[in-house]
Amino acid sequence: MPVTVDVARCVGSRDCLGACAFAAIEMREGKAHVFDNCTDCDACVAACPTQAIVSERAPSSVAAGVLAVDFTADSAIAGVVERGARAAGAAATWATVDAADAARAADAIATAAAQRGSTLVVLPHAGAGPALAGRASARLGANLLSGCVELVLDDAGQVRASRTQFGGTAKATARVRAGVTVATVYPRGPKPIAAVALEQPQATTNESGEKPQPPLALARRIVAVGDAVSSGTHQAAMAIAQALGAVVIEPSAQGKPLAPDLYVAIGVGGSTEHNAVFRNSRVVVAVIDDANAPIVQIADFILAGDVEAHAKALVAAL
Amino acid sequence: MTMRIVTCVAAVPNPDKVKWDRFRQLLDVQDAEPVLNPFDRNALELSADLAKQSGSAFEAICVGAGATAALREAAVFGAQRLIAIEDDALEGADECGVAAALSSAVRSIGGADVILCGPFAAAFGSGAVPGLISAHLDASLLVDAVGVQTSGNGISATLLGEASLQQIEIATPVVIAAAPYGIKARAISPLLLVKAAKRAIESMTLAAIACPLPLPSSGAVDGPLESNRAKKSMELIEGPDAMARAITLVGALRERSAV
Repeated sequence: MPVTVDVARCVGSRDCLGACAFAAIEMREGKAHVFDNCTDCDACVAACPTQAIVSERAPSSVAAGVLAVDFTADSAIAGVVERGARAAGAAATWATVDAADAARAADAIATAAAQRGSTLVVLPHAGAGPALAGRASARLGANLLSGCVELVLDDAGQVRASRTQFGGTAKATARVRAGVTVATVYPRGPKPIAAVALEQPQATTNESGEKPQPPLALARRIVAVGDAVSSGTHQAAMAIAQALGAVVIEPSAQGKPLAPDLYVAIGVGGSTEHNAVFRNSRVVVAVIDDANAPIVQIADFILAGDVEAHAKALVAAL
Repeated sequence: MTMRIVTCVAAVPNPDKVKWDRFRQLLDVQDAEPVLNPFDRNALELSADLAKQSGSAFEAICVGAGATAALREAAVFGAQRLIAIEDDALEGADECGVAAALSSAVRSIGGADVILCGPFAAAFGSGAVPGLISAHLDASLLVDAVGVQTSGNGISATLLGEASLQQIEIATPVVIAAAPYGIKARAISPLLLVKAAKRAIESMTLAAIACPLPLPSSGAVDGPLESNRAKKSMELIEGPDAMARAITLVGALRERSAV
C-alpha cells in the first residue's frame, strides 16, 4: 500500500473520504486511515488540503498508452484522467475532435489509438462522448467501460473503475478483461489541456448562432429554481445566484450530466433524471419543503421547511 | 422522398420506483414495472416528425424483457410497426449485446435509411448504443440531434453544439441519437395507452433475426452494487429559525471552500 497518512499533518478535513471512489479510507479518532483495499489511484493525495497523505509509489516502468479525447481545449475530465494514468506512471496524450460528424470523429479516435498502441482511450461521459466511445470500441474490438466516476490504469496495464448505475442511485467497482479499453468519464472541473486535433474529414456544417443553453458545462456554481416556487422565492434565488456568481437554470431543462463545485437547488423535488444530471456536483445544497424529497439522495446539505423563508435568510447570510 | 425510418427503444425499470434498500444493500426494483426509457421519447418525437415530413411510416424495435410495455408507449407516437426481440440469451446482455441484437433486427427487416435512438437509458445510462449500432451497420452517426429534416438524397439534422446549434447534412444510412433535452416530447395519456394496447406487436427471437450467438459483451464486469450515497455526508441543517440555519449552512459551505 504505497499511500500513507502523516497523522501529525492530518486535520480531519474528510476531503479524502469524498475523493476515494473505492471506500478505502475512514476516519479514526479524527484522522484518516487507509485500508488494504486501496487501489493506489492517488485521488486522496490530490484531495488532501494539508498534504498529509503521501504516495510512496516508485515510478512504473510500464509504458501504458493513454489517449484522452475531448471536444475543446478545456477538459472537464483532465483531473480524473491524470489521476488514473498516474498509477501506471503514464502521461495521457490529449487530442480533440469535432463531434459534428460523430462517425468520422469516432473513426479518427480508433485510428489514432491503433497507431499509438493505446491501452486506454478516455472520453467525457457527456455530449457525444458515450456514442463516440461505443463506435470507437467496436472499431477497435475493445472493451467498453462507460459512466466512470474514477478510473485507474494500474502498472500491470489493468483498468479498474468506479461507475454508477440507475441514474447514480448505485455504483460498483468494475474491472475489464485484458486488452484495449475505451472508457467514458463523468466531467468534473474544467482544466486546460495541451491537445492536438485529430485528423478527420470535415462534414458540411453551419453554425446557426442560436444558443440552445448557457455554457453550463463550464459553470462552477449553479442555482436551480423549481417550477412551482413563489415569486418571493424566485427573487431570493436570483439574489443568491448573484451573490454566488452562479448561473441560474430551470432544472427540468437540463439533460447532460453537470459537475459544478456548488449546486444550490431551491424548491426542486429531484426527479431521477434531475438527480442523474447533478449527482457529480462537488457540493449540493437542497432548499426544500419536504426533507424526504428525492433530491436529498444527492444533497450534502439540506434546508428543510419554508422554502421562501430559507431562501431569503440565505440571501442575508451570504 | 419516402424513406425507411426505424426507432430503437429500450425498456427500463420505472426510474421513479427504483430505490436503494439500505438494509439489504441492493437495488430494489421490485415495484419498478418496465416502462419506455424516458429519454427515448425524444427519439420517437424526431421519428414522428421525420416520418410526417417525408410521407413515410416508422417502425419501433425493442430488445429484451419489458419490450412489450415499452412498445405500447412507442405506439402512441405513431410507430406503425412494433417489433419485440425476446430471447433467453438476452438475459444479462449489456450495451454491446443489446446493440448487436438491435443491429441484426434492423438488417433482418431489410435495413433502414434512418435509425433513431435515445441519448442513453435511464437504467444504466451508457449512451454507447447509437455508436455501436452505427459501427455494426457501417452507417453515419449524428449525436445530440434536436431536429431532423429530409434534404436531397440525405438527411439534414440540427445538433446541439458546444455553444450554438449546428446544421449538418449527411448521407443515409445514418444512426441519429436524439438530444436529451431541447425536444418537446408529447405527453402519453392513459387513454392513448389503452388505444395503443390494441396494436399488434411482432415478437422475434435472436435466431429469427439471424443474430450471431453468443452476444458480444463490453468486457466490463461490475463488482457488487453499493449505494452511491455511502460517502455523501448528507447533513440536515438544524437551528431555531431560518436565519440561524442559513448562517450555519453558509459556515459549512465556507469550510468546504464552496463559497
